[in-house]
Amino acid sequence: MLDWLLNYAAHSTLLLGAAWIISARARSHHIRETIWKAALLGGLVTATAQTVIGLTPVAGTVTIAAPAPVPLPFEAAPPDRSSTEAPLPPQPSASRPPPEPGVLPAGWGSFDWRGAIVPVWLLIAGFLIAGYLARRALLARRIEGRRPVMTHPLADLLATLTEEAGIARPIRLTASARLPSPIALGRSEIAVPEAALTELDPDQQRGMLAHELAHLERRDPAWLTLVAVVERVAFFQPLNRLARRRIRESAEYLSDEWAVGRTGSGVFLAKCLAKVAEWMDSCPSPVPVAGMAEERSHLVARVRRLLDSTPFPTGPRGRTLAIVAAVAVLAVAAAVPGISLAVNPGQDSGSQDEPGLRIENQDTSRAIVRALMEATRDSDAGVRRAALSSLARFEDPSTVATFREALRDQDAEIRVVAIHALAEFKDRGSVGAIAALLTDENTELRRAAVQALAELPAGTARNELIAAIRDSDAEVRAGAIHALAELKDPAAAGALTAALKDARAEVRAQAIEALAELELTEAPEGLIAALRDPSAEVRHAAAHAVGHYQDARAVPELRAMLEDADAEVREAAVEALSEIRTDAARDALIAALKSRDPKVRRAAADALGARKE
Amino acid sequence: MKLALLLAGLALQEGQHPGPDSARVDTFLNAVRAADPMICEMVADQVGNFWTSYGDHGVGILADGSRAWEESRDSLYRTPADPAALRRLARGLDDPNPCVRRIAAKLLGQGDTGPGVQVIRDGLRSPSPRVREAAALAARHSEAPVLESALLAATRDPNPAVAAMAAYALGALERPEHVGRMSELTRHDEARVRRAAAHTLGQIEDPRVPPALVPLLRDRDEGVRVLAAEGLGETKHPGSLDPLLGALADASAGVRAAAAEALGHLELPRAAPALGRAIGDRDPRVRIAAAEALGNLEGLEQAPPELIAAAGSTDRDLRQAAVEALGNISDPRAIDALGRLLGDSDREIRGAAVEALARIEDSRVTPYLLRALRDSDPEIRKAAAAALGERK
Repeated sequence: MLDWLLNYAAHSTLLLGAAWIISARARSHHIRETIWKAALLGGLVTATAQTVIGLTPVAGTVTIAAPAPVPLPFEAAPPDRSSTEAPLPPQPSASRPPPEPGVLPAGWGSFDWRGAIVPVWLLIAGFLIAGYLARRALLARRIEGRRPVMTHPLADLLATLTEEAGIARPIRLTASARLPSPIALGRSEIAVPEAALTELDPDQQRGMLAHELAHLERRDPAWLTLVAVVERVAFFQPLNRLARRRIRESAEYLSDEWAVGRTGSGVFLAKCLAKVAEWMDSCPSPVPVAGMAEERSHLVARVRRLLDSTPFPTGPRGRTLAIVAAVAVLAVAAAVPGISLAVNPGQDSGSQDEPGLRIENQDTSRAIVRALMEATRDSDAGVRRAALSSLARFEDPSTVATFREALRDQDAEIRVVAIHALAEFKDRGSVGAIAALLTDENTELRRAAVQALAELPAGTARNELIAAIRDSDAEVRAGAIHALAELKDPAAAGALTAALKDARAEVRAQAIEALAELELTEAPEGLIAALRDPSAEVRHAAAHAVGHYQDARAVPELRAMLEDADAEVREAAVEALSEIRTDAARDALIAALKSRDPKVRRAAADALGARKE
Repeated sequence: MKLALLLAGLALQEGQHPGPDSARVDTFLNAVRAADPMICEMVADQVGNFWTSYGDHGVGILADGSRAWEESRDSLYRTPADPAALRRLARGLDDPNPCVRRIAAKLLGQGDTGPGVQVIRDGLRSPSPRVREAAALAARHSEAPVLESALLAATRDPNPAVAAMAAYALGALERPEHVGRMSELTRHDEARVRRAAAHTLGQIEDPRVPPALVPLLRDRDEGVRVLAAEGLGETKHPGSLDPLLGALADASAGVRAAAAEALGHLELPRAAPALGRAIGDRDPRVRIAAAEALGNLEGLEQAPPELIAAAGSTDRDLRQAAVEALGNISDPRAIDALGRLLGDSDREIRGAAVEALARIEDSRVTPYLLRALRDSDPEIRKAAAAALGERK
């Protein structure tokens, strides 16, 4: 929480400061408003992204050294007369050299100021929010007795305006004698002073209603509530006040623009504003909602603007602006350095029985993950290795980028750890980087890479895997073949057929199994020859594969294999023959009934029985 | 017939690697006799060690280091077969220089068969007490079973030095049959005999040993009390606990330290409070022995407060002993004390503190491990990173 506050304070200052500078140059109120809204909410977004979601900013994290806790006196001093030992003071922070024994770190009292920040903040924010709610309640009480305006010409005026603006939902119109100026309430209500019904001429009324309608259409009541809440919760950020002022100002100007656009002239609205200003003199207490003329200082400027004949400045609108603002905020979230306080050992002791323990554990876990991520950039390879191995155990998706980065470590062992972890994460995004390691000179690394690619959707790594079938290491070759089998990409068939001539039996067997996995339309070449392989393992796999492809050309070989020296090969031959539905295969099975191997005889009998001829 | 063949084979082996001849023995004994006593003692310590590992394959040899002497040196750790050489060594047992006698005894004791054993047996029957004592020492090195009865007889030697050496020599055999005789010797008038008996009893595994050793904890001789305490620790007998706890209050610091160490060997957790108090001993050796012993106690889950406090001692060795012991105990109450040691200037202590913290299963350890992750020493950062992986 403290980290969040620190991050928010820093980020919001940056964003709001930037908004101040940029908005001064923007003439269009659309742009100004978007900038201020983005800056106000942006700080919340970026601070949350970095501290809660664990996004690591490009610029890293700035750590503020923890103040030293003052050492406690010994619970029980040793009953040693000669002992003049003083407890060793703890190190104030790892970045500073340890102090001389016996010297207490000066400066900090026994009171830990950091523990108090969050409670104090909650207290003040709660107080301010309560104040705001009280003001809203006061307003609600004041206009409690407002009456709906149904039959008055004003209602017809509103209906026409609503229809012209293409607003489908019904807009309530109410009047209250206790309102100093018209206001927009919630999603669909306009409350006007009673005087507005009588003292304004229809053109002025039209301008007034159009202005209020613009507030509703722009969702200003909701926006201003949100802005007011943010201002109070983040009361320590003075720039939020400015932002609120500017957003409100822009809301009025933009509503004026809208109203002028609807009514064709600013003159009537300007007259209406002048009238409203009179009413306000008699009822000076302002209301904290989107209204018409809360701040008199702006009224003059607005009236002048409405009467000015130059057209309002135009600029990009709506969606474009929102997208630009969102991108800008996200960029800040990714780029601005985060801030965190160094851990203060001992601060959280004794928290074991608190009900908030679970959440605390999550926080701890997150803190560990973050510290380990940092340690993966240590200058010492042993530290990086240990940190990365430890990090892998947390299986935290937010660490994937760290493991991707570790694929480029100088230390081969670290790269191996990263490869395995990324395979565990099923990280599609690192397939290319892992495939690139298939040409590394380190054998362990290549072995890990083929293993990982077998577990990942490695379709894009097909060519690298095919090349790895010619690796100098048999395990890499077998692993590449296995990974290709997982891809089930028929394009690998040629390379796999070539691997049937591999020097190592386990590679040949693996290639045969992979060829069976590919589900090719016809049996690949080379399987029949593999039935005569010197290795029983290969013959076994080949028999299984020709059975899978029901390759009738294999029958003579399979028949010969019924007398194979290896029992498993003999069984596989029977099974393959039972898959092949030719007369020759049936004859071979009949011949197998006379085998010396009882298992072969039984399997042949079963197979013949299942043929149902 | 078989025996003859065996002997012939032995002779053949000896022919390939002969023991020293008389000239070699003479040169050697003369050299150590003439040497500074300190040099002589250093040589005596080395006799019987396997020297050949020095400069293996020429590695570690200084430039121009001739190795022509190697053959004669190697001959010295084989029992001489040459009768003339044996006579020289027998005479060495009677040398006025005790260091030379010791070297001669060690050279003679290099085998438990052959003509060397006969020389030792003769020595034990020598009219000279000096020779009998040296021969008993040779018998200890030889460990030849045929010398057992001669040594037992020698424990009754009127000369206490001979009786003591004979009792000491029997300790090498570790035979329960000797408990009775040794128990008798624990009541010998001479302290050196009682020491040898206490030492030998400590080597023997037998239920009669603890009752024989316990009274020696109150012996008037400090050395006897130390050896009795050490012996009781070796017995691992629960009955030794209370007498050893009593010995923690001995007037001699050496005895108190030995008792603390022995309690560690007993591994009984009931010793923890007393050992905790012993951490407050006025002698640093006792404090360190007590801290180390606490780490050895079996199944001890709660560290005495004195041990936790000792982790903050200004005595570096005591801190080290305490932190290592705390690592074995894994008591969460030690977390903060161990955490404070992460700021120690000594990297070994910081490393031991991280290891100790890593073994404590408690969430409060995590902030300290996170701190250790920023240590200046890579080994400590590494240990912290590995330990954090266990705290998922």
